[in-house]
Amino acid sequence: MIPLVIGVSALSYAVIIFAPGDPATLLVDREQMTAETYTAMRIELGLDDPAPVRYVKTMRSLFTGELRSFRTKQRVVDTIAERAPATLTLGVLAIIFGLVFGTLIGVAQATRPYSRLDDLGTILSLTGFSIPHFWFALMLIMLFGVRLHWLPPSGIRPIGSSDWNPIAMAPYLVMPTIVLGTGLLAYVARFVRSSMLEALGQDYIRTARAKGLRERIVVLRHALRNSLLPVITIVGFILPLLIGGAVIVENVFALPGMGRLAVDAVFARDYPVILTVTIFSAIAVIIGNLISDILYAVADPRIRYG
Amino acid sequence: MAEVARRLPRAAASPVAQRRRSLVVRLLSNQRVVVGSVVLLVTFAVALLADVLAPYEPNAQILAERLAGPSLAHPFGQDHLGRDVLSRAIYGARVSLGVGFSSVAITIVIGTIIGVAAGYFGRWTDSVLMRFVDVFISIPVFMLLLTVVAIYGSNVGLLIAFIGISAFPGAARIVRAEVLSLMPRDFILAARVVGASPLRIMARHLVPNLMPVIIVSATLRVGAAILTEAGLSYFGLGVPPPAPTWGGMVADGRTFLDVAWWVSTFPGLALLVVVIATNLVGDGLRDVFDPRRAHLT
Repeated sequence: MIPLVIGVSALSYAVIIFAPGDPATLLVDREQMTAETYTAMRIELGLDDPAPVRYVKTMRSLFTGELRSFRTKQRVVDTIAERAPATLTLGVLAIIFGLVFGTLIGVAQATRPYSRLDDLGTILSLTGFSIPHFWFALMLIMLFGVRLHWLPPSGIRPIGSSDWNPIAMAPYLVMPTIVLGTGLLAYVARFVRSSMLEALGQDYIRTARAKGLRERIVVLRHALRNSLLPVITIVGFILPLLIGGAVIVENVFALPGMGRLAVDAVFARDYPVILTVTIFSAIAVIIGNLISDILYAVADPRIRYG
Repeated sequence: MAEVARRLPRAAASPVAQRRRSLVVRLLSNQRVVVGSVVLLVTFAVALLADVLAPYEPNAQILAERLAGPSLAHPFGQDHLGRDVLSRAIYGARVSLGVGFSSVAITIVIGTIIGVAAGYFGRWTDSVLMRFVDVFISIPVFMLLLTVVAIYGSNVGLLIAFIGISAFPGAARIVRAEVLSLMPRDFILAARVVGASPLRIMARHLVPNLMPVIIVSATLRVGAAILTEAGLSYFGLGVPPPAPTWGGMVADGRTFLDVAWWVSTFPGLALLVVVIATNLVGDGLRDVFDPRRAHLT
C-alpha cells in the first residue's frame, strides 16, 4: 500500500512539475513584480532545487500539513478537512442508493427472467451506464427544481445556516445522490441479475424447493445470500469512477465538496491543492479497495489470503 | 524446422474461414449488435455528411433570435447566441465519435502491448508493469484528466492522446488475464517447441486469439471515452470553442434551464443515444463471443 501511495504521488507530481509557466509569476501581481521579488519568490517556493528534491520537500510538507494553497495561503489540509464532509456524505449516500436499489432491481429481474419487467430493468441499467452525469443532473434540476419546485436546485443547506443539520440538508442531497448513485445502481442490478440467475439454477435451490420451502425464502435466503457476496467487490473497483462522478455532480449542484475544490484549483492553477486532492482521493481508492477485499474475505469463509 | 513453423498456422486456414462466416451469421442474428450498429452507422453518416445535412452554419449567430424555441425552421430551437441547435448537434457528432473511437484505439494499442508483455514474460516484467498499472488505476482518472488538459492545453490530438492513455490500465489487466489463460495451451507450447521467437508467438499466436476479448473491451470502452470527452467539454476543457461539442452545448444551456430547455436537452440526448448504442454493441459482441454466459446477460 505504501509503495502504491508513493507511485501515485510521484505520478501526480510529475504531471504538475512539467507544466509550462512559472508558478512564481502566478503568485505575485505582475505590475508589482520586480527582479528581487521574483527571485525571492522562487527561493521561497524552492523552484531552483532539482526535481527529486522538490518532490521530497513537497511530500514532507504535504503530510506534515504545512503545504499551503497558492491562492488562499491557507493550509491545504485545513481546506480539505472543511470540504471532505460534503463529499463523504454524498459518496456514502450514493453507494447506499446504488447498492439497495440495484439489488432490488436485479432480484426482481432474476425472479421473472425474460418478462416485461426484466426487459425494463435491462433498459434501465443500460441507460444508467450510459447517461452523462452532468446532463442527467441538469435534467433533474430542470424538472424537479425549476418546473415542479419539489427540490432545491442546488446548494447543500438552506441559505443562511451553516451547521450540519441532516433534516434541513436532506432535500438538497436527493438529486446529487441519485445522479452519482445511478452508475453503481446499473452495475449492481446487472450483476445481481446474472449471479441470481446462476444461483437459481444450482442444485441446492432445487433441494430447497423440493423440501417445500416457500419461494420467498428460497429466493431471499438461499439464492440472494450467495449471489450478493461479489457485489462488495464492485464497490471497490467503481470507487475511482465515483470520485470522477463526484467532481461533476458537486459542480453542477454547487456542493462545497472536494470535487468542486479540485475544479476550482485546476482553473486557478493552484498546484498544491490539485496535488493534495489527487493524492488524497487516490489514497481513498486504495483504502476502499483494501476494505472491500477484507469484507469479502470476512463474508466468504472460502477465501483466505496467504 | 523453420519451414514447419511457417506452415503450421496456415494449415488451419479453411476452418478459420468457415468460422468467420458463421460468426457473421451470429452477429447479424444478435439483436443488440444489429440495433446498436445501425444507430452508430447512422450517427457516423450524419457526422460525415454534416456539411450536407446541417440546415445552417453551426457557428452562424442570429442574435435577434436568441433562445428561440423549437420551430419548423429550427426543430431543436436556437441557443443563447441564436445558433441553430440541430446544426450544432450534427457537427458535434464529429467530435464525440472522432475522439471516442480514436482514443480507444490508443487505449487498446497500449493496453495490448503492456498486457501481452506482462502475461508472456511473467516474472519481474509482469511485476513491474502491473505495479505501474496499479498506480494508474488508483488515481481517479477524471480528476487527473482535468488537471492535465488544463495545464497542457486541449487541441483535438492531445485530447485523444490523454483520454486514450488514461484508460489503458483496465485494458492491460484484461489482456494480461487472457494471455495467462492462453499460455499453458498446447498451441503455444507447440509454437515454442518448433522454435518460434517470442515476438512471433505474441504476434501470430497470442494476439489473434486475444481478438474477441480485445474487440469486446474496446467497444465497451468507446462509450466511456465519449462520456469523458463530453465531461471535459462541459467544463470548457475539451475541443476549444466555438467548435460545437455535445458536452459544450449542454454547458451552454445550463444557465437557461428555466427559459430554454432545448439548448441542453437535445445534445445530451444525442450523447445518451450514442453511448447506449456502443454499449449495446459491446454487450451483444460479448454474448456472441462467449455464448456460454450469454443467457446470463
